[in-house]
Amino acid sequence: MASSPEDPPLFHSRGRYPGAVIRNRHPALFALRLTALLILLCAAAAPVLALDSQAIFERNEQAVYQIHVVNRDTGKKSSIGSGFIFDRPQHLATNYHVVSQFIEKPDRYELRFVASDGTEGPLRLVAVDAVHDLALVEADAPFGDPLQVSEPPPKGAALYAMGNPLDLGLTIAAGTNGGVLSQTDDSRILFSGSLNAGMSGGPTFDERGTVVGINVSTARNDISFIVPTRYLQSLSVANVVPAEDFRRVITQQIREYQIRYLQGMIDGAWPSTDLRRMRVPGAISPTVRCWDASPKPKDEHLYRRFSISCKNENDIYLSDTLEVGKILYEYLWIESDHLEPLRFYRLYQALNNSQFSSKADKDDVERFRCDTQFVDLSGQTFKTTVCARGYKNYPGLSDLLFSAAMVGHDRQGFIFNLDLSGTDFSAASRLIVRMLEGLQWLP
Amino acid sequence: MASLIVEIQSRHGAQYHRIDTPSLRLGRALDNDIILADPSVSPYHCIVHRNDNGSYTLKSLADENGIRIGGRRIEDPVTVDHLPLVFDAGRTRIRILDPAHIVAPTRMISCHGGSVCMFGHWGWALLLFALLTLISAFDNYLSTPLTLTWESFWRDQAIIMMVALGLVVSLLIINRITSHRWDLPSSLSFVSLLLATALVLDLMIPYADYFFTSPLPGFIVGLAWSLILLPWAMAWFLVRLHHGNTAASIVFVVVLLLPAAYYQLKEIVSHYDLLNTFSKRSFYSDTLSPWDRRLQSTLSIDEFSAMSIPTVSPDTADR
Repeated sequence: MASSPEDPPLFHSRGRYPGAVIRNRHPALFALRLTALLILLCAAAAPVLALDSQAIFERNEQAVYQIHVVNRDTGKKSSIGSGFIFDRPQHLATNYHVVSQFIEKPDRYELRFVASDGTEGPLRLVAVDAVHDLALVEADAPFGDPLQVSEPPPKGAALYAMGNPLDLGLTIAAGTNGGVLSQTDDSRILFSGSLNAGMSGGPTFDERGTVVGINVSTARNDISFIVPTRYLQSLSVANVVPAEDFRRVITQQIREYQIRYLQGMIDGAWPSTDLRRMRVPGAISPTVRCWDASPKPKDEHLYRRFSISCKNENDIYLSDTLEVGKILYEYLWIESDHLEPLRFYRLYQALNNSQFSSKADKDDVERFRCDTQFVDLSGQTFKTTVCARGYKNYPGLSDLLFSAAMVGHDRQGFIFNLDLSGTDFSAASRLIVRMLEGLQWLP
Repeated sequence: MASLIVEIQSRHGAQYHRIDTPSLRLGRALDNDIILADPSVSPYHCIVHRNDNGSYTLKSLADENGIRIGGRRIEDPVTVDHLPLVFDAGRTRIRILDPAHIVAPTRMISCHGGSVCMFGHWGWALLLFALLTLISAFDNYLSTPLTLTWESFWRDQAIIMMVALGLVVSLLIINRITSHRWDLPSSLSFVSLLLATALVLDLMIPYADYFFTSPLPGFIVGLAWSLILLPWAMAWFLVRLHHGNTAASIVFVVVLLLPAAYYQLKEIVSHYDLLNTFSKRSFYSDTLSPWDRRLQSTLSIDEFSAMSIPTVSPDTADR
């Protein structure tokens, strides 16, 4: 229950005036009574400071709006989300992915809001932060008073998320704060409540009723994510960006973030992992998690295969076919005591088939361009391929595929694959080089 | 002039008649000199008669389908002067031949040397089939990085052999159609040789790909195989070995192989990314070889970073 400057005053509307002074002629008794009063005060203050979900709902339902992406031709909503009054009376804060359809095709769609009392109106896009999945929209007329924002409460504290799940109407979901997640590059808070589609963009309150985050996504039942409010502050901008320019702004945001993110990795210290006779970089960032991915061995196999798979968890939603900022890498080791080299290499070659996994199609990206060379890594020769393709609608972003397979050993093979989506080409190239330098052959 | 020969061609082969009489009448009725069974032939269709000066004249007797020479309907009598004279009576093809007409060479049953021996001899047929079995078994062995059990190995081998024998039977049938003969040894030899060659090429292409660090060798070989080698081999088989009609054989081969060739061509074009159209796949040389024989030299990481990586940059300015 830490107090902060934004704490609501002790003079609560519940009518009690706890600051009353008790007069007493007996100093000792006075001290005792004062102590009793203070205790009473503290006990009384606790329920006064913390609101329940009903109170939070009642106080804030007027400030939470539905945001619809409407097809201009049919007049019907194509996707829905939520938003709340933020920073200025006519501004609503919401998620980037709630309005992304409109950004992709502004002549096909339009944005509209729906209030809890049913009133509707058009919305304009003011600003976006694609990296943190935030957007700011505005209407002509003010909505009301902007909600108060503050920093998230401690881990374990109660959180309440409001929104319009599955278009069932405005509700509030209760849960607890699971803490800021380092694997999301500190850009997400874990929420144990149940968020569902439609609640994106809605506010999450602490138990004092201030907004501490904005609903963004869910992994499964009771594992949901909130964007902390500090990222919203950067959205308070004065100038409106014209609709045609949003793609360029988004590309720039993502590119700058990628450069910072990757450079942070390149400059950082990496833990090493030994995979049989190769020492390899482990998790190259707090945002990366590595798992064992070795296939189950069978008795009739005349070889042994081990593999480690690592990926990051802070991908950025760009559209329903494009998720950028993904980093995936894997190490495969294969060895045999019994197979002749010809047989071994048949198998080894069959494993060397890295392809980029993505939903992007020909409207989103160009063809891959590849180059294959033989490179000396830690005294071993690797057949190395690097492939890249650019994004058509976001020029400056690229997908990269990298694959290196060790040659020169009769019965041992090692493959290193690395995929990066929607990244900056130069920064990604530097990361590749740094990772190659981190491979070490153990004699 | 010696008596001319009339050749009646039908599905069952050809019938030959010497023109001994001053006139020879052909038709479907049973009181003709040459009786034809084809229902498109009129009862009294045409007549060949000897003139006073010794030459012959061909004359149509019926109006329904008449006589066609070179596809054109002939109404007036024709002097038989350029031999062989080929005409159609209805759907029956008839040739008038000079007895001095040179016939096709004798087909040797048992050969005395020469490469064509391979395709007539049971010994060769079985040898080539054994070779195919060995090569496919070797390929099967290479593809199985597991403890070999007789049943799994033989099951895979049996499948390959069934496919080969299926092709042999298909070829036998084609053979029968073009040369009216069942010729198992030559079909077996031919299929075995062709499949063995295909397997050997398949085994060698990855090494060529690795050597040149390029998918080009595979592309060239694949294209040459399905568009040139295979059709040529089949046509050669039908024409040279079985003396089938050249034009007919070529047409037959093209029609037979066209769907397969088209499919192969499509596969090659997309696999080797020839048209540079969009594909979600990235195309690169992913072959590996236990003997590291190649043209490309090994680079250091710095050289790779400076020379190779920039060549794939989507920004043309970087490249």
